[in-house]
Amino acid sequence: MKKTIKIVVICCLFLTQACALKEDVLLDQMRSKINNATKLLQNKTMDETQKEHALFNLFDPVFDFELMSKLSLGRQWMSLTNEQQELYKKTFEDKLKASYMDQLNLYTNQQVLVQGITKTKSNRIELLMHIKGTEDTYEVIYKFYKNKQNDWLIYDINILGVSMIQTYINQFVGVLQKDSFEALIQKLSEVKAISK
Amino acid sequence: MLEKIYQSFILPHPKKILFFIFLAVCFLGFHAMKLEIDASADTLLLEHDKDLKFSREIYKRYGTSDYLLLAYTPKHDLLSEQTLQTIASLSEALKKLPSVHSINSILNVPLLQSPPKNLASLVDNVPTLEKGGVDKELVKQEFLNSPLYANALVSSDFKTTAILIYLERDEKYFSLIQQKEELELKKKEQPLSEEESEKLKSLQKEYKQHKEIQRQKEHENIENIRTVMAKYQDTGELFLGGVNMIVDDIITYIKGDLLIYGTTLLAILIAVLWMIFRHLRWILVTLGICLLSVISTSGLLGLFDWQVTVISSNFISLQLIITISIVVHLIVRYNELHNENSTATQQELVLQTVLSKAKPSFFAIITTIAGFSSLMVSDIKPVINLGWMMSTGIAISLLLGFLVFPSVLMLLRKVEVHKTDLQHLFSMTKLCSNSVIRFGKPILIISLFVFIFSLWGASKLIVENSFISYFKQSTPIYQGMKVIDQKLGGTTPLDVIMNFKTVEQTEDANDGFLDSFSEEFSVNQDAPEYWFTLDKMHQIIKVHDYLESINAIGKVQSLATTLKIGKSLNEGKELESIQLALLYKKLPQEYKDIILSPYVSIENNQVRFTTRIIDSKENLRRNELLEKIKTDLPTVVSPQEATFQLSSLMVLYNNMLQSLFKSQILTIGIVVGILFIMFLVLFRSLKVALIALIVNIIPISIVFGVMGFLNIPLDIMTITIAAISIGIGVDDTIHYIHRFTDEYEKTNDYIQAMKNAHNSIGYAMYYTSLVIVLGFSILVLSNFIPTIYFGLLTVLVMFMVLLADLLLLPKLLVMLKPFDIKRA
Repeated sequence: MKKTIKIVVICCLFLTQACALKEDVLLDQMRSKINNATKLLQNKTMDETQKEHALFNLFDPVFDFELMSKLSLGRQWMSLTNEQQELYKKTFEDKLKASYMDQLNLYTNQQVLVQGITKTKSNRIELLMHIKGTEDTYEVIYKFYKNKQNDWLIYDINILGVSMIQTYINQFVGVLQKDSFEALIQKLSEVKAISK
Repeated sequence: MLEKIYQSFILPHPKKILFFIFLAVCFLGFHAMKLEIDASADTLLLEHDKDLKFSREIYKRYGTSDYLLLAYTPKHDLLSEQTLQTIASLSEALKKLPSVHSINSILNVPLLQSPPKNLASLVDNVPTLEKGGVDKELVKQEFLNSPLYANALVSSDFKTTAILIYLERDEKYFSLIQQKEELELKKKEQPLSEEESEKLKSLQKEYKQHKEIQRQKEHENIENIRTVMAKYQDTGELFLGGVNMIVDDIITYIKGDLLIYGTTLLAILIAVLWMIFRHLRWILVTLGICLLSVISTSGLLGLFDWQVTVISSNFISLQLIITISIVVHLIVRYNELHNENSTATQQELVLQTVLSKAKPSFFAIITTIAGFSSLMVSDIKPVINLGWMMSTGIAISLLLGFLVFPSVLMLLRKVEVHKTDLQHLFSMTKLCSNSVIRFGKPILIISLFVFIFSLWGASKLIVENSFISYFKQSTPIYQGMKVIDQKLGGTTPLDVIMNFKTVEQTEDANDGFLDSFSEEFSVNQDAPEYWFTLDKMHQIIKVHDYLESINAIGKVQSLATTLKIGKSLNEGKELESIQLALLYKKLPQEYKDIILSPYVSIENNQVRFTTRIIDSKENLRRNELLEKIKTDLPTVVSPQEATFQLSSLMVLYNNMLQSLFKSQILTIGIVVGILFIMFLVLFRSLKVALIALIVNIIPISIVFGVMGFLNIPLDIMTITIAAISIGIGVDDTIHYIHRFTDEYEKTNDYIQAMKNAHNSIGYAMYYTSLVIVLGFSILVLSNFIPTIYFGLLTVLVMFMVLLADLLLLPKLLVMLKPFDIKRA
């Protein structure tokens, strides 16, 4: 149980090393940024908030939070008003960030290796990363898609075969079928509050 | 016609009759050897109980293993080196036993909070006491406070610990049940092919054999565990518990009681018969007929494949009571006729005896069968069987009594009849007849008062089945059960099954861009790892907390236990869905088997809460508790989100008891109605039938009244007392009224008829009661409470029946004068 939690943490951590990328430089840039991020985390002179800000500044550009918000709600997204969509996007983004940051302190110097990229479709790339623990190596896949500006952005992370977005899809579909949109927002905020 | 049969066939050929009876009894005796005792726990369950099927499904689905619990209170501190070494060596010894699968104790359970570390630091090494290198003070705190271990693995005073002995799972048993049930179900819907019928037959046979073998194995296993435990007695107190052990112990107690008290009962019967009749021949005749009846009935049971169970193990005692009654009535009548006419030949005396007793005895038996027929209304096979066994048994007793008694007497000389010491010193019958004359009104008033008391007591009757209250407080088994029950999380298992409503997955988003992602996410949407949504987890925690808040529930374990531990390891923050998904996906199977598999069935969208009920809780009303849980759960989690079902032994025993209660208590009205009709047919007088009915209702109601007053619950063992009371009660009434009618016809005087009846039939009734009351008093010395109750209640019924028949019945007859002049 602990192992898996740790993996989540590390995955979350290295997301922060990405930024909006072009295909030809994606792999190299990811590799170099991983080192920076590791150093950032190992830096004992910075407090948690400073690290948090630094990491957010790094990963914000590479994530498509809007798409992630849409994907996490599926069809329900279309039934929301513009205001609700905005509210949801903001809450979901906060929740994701809070959830990542929450786990950062658990990182303890594991070796992280970017293995390579695979183009699965013309507009999809998967970046494979290995995290080396004392006993096992864990596989993490970052899923990129190409947007209209030809930038590659992350829309999902697959950790040991578990898709983060899929876990949200499955959660929210149930909540929205039983409860109102407001209840979903409240639940997201509650989780965030508990986590914080 | 009866006279002709006796004169032409029976009395002239006593040797032939006895020879044929001997042959018949030998034949039945041979089959009696095939008589099977099915003492397994599931004979106590309702045959067609849908909850039983459900419980078996759950048992199979969650791969639960049966376990026994060894409570150990060491002399030294729980975490001292000596104690840990003892537990290690005890665990090793237990592990070597063939039926033991694995052992869990404080030594090998994972220590997750000793010391509290963050999750990452715990990854590489989960400490245990066995591995060593832990801070024992922290370990103590973890055991006392962890949701996993508190009040289950260690007691709250930290003096007692549980060693869980997991038993090998009997896969064959479940496979046989499943195959058997499938075919049985098919048989209900359509005729089976020849091949299928054969298969069903062989499955039924195999199932029966397997069950018996398993029961013996279980018994041996428990014995082996006890042998191991005995070697460690000097290191502290050791008690064994768990449902399997309780059932095994109950069976052992009943068997032990049958042997010890059966033998003692026989000795007492001989002594009392000697006191009454002072002739060896009467003792031999009575015991001989009893023996032949019991052998014959057992033979028939073997022949028809009726198995003796815990419930029907009383049948021998009951048959003894009724056989003794038949024979004592015959002896007393014979002696009476002999006294009246000492010059009559033996054949004349014997003929007169059987002819005068045939009618009342026959009707007494028929009405007794009617009483026992109430048992057949229940849905519990052993209870139905008890009804059949008793009906068959007493019919056999009647037949043998009226064949063997005259045949034996025809081979013996007449002997002089002595007034016995009992008659010389103290004549209860005379005292009774005088009391009827002198204290008629008080008898009526007292009867009325007793009836009101009985109704009041009966209204307080409770239907409960508490395993722990089956044993005396002084017995080791009681003490052991109490320790486990109160300190280590309870005894009787109760499962709460929560079925989540299926959430319809939404269709693809109607957005060209989003659609391009939808395929990717729809492929895996039903994968099990995505089942763990926070919403579900919150509901599970709510139900878990609700169950824990119930006083009568000891330990509750569910997925919530893992969630709570996870939260404490996660610095007080809840585990998120992604963490739970990963947990599910990557957790090694050995840990999955402990923390997930017993509590979650993702494919069924279902979770399971296992609880144990604190059996020793005073004033615990099991049925009310189950009803309360059923009512409360939909308020804890709305029915739109999940539905609930209760399962496991607690539910099954409760269903069985409630069914017994309904079939026994509620059908008493029907039985009384049948009795009334039979009295009407027999006596051909509405008044007499009513009198007979009143006289019987009062002693039966007293039994229930006393049980209610003394808080003796109706449970699996005591609930058949209604049928038994009716069975015993009606005999004397019929014999008395029959004799009273004869005497009234002779004297045309109610008082004289009463005196004569008391002075004749009264003795037979009084002797029968005396034999049974003294004989069954011995059961009070048993260590098994239901046996004590059975003894006490039988004694009470016999005594009250005697009083009602010798005081109230004559008073009512004398007062209401039901026989008209014409009849006289």
